[in-house]
This record gives sequence, C-alpha cells and structure tokens, in this order.
Amino acid sequence: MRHATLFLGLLALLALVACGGGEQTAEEVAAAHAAAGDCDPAGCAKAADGGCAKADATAKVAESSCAQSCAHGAKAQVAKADGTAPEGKTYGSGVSSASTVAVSSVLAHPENYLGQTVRVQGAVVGVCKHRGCWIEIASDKEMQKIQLKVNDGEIVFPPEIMGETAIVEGVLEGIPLTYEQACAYLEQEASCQGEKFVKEDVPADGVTFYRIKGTGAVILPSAKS
Amino acid sequence: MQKFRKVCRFLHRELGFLAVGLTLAYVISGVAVNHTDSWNPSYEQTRSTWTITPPGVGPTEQITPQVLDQLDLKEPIRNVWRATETQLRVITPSGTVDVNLVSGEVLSEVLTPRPLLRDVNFMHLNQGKGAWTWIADGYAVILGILALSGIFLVKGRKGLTGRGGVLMALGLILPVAYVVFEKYL
Repeated sequence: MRHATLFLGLLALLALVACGGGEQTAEEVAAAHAAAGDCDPAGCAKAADGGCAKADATAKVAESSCAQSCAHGAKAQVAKADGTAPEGKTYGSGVSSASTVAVSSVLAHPENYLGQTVRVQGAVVGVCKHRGCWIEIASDKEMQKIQLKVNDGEIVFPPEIMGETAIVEGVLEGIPLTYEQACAYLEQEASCQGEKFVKEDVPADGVTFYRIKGTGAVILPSAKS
Repeated sequence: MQKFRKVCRFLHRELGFLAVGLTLAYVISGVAVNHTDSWNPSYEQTRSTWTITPPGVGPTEQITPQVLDQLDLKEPIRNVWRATETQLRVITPSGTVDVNLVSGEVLSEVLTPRPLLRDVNFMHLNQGKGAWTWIADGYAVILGILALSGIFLVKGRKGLTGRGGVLMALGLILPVAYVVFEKYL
C-alpha cells in the first residue's frame, strides 16, 4: 500500500512537472536562439530590449491588393481578395486578416506597421534549413524580401515549400542592430545559407532588421501551368 | 505489497512491448536532432558549383531566359527571384540555383530527404501536429509509467532500498546538477 501511494505520488509529480512550463520571455527566446546558433537577429541584439517601438496608433494600415500580381518580384499566385480564408496547406493558426499588405509598403514605412498584425503574400524564397523556424517572402519589388519568424517547434516550415506562394500573418517587429551586431548576424546568416558575407555592405550605423513574428501561414496550391 | 508489485510488473511488461517502436524511433531521432548545429538531421544538402557565361545585370525579364538556357536544368522551374542586383535565384522542386550575374558563378544546392531520419524527426518534433500531439502525449505518459513501475519491480538489495535506489539517485542528480551548473555557476 505504501508503495502504491509512492507510485501514484510520483506519477502526479511527473504530470505536474510536465504541465508546469511557463511562457518563455523574449530574452530567453533570443538567448536560446543565440545559443543554438540559429540565424536569428534577436540573438545578436542583446540590447534590443524587445526592439519594437509601438506603432503610432493613428497609423493607418494601407490595404493593398498589390501582392496579387508581382511585376518585378518572384512569381506569386493570386489569392482570393474577397476576405475568405485562402485554400491551401495551413501552418500555425493560418491567416485571418481580410486584406493583404504589399511587402514593399511594409518595408518602405515599417514605422506604420510596427506592433500591428500584418498579412503579406509572396513567393517563398528562403527557408530555415535546419529548424524550419523562418521563411522569407519575396516582395512585390525586386531584391526585397521579408522574414517571417516563428517560435521554434510551434510551426516548422519544410524546405519543400520553396518557390511556392505563401500568405503569411504576424506582428511586425523591428530589431535594432549595431554595426557589430549586424555584421555578426549577417555573417552567421550568410554562413547558414552558404552565401558570401560582404562586410562592406553593412551600414556603419547599424541596421534595424524588420521581420514578421509569425502566427500562421497558408501555402497556396501549386499553379498548374 | 505483493499485489502492487504484480500490477507494476504487468504494466511494465505490457506497456514496454507497446512502447518499443516509438522508443526506437525517438532514440534515433533524439541523437539526430541533438546535433542540429553540425548537420541537417532531416535533409542531405548537396552543393555543386560551376560557371556559365555571365549574362550581366540587365532587366530580370531579359536575363532570366539566358540564364535558364545555360543552366539547362533537368527539373521544372518553380520560381525565379532577383535576390540582388547581381544575384538571380532559380527555385526548383528539389532546391535552389543561385547565379552570380556578373561572374557567372553558379551555386546549386539540392536538399534530399534522409530516408527514415526525415520521418522519425517529423514524428519526434511533432511537425504534423493534430492527432500526433495526442499520440505523443500518450507515449510520454506511458514512458512515465514505465519509469515509475520499473522502480518497484525488484525488491531487496538490488531494488529501491539497495543498488537500485543508488542508481536512481544518480539518475536524478545528473539533470539537477546540470541545471544548477548551467544556471547558477
């Protein structure tokens, strides 16, 4: 009887331990990324302190359907613009915003979107190969992209979605990086992606890295050509 | 006590058999994903380089056909993206081909799913979510029961009050010591 009580007590303790994990703070997440060598600018910006100045409450989120047709960016499919949920493979909580904002608009005036939920659409031109914890979405303008970063393990993007059209949603955040931090981050990212790092391309006053803290995505079915 | 030990033996035996498959899958995956920093546990990355005649940094619509002609890829093109002024990325179902438009250098990277490993990692990391979450939770509970029922299987000096207890204490001290060392020292 004594042993049965001990057995049940240990089982209850195990269940308590399993359920007791709290939410990680942003700093813990950043530190975990840095420790894991993950290509995450948050890991490089120890002083970022969350980094996100809250958006001007009066800033109006531009609603645009320009993500539908990209004359200059990578080829992207057209999603329904009637506010219905897009059809395709859903990751995380999918997308719920009715309107899509052009990536170029977000990057041109990030201050208008900081802290707000944005939905963007474009071709997937980069995927974290090791953990699937981020994807890069091509802008409607050439040579532009925006990263959608998700918490490790919550959503895992497989490399098979490269080149497909994605509609993604999340909160825009800005991570200010000093010159040294920017160099460290960009060098690490280049190394992760097997690309060449050019130190001269890094601005002397550092950079603010804008990305979407992703909550969900929908990968549209491949277009039949 | 005798009856309780009998129940433990029953649970340990039956659940032990049930857990063999998933335990082996998780053992393989556990070792594989432990070393993510030094290798990609789910995909084999194959890189190759060669050179084409540089098409220059003209408009994308103009240079893309020239590049594709020279690359002569054996699989369908999924997308083409002008990454920078001097770089064009061609995306195929199996990977990417990055072309330096000035030097003509081509870097092809193909990702091939590792047989077996890709699948066990998919399960272990619960990438599929949905029903697998519940199956994995159930498996975790089974592991807990296996661990706890194992404590009471043997009595005497090889059991909890003897060598078994010492080994169990060592097994508990190891993770606690690690956490203390990592966090506070």
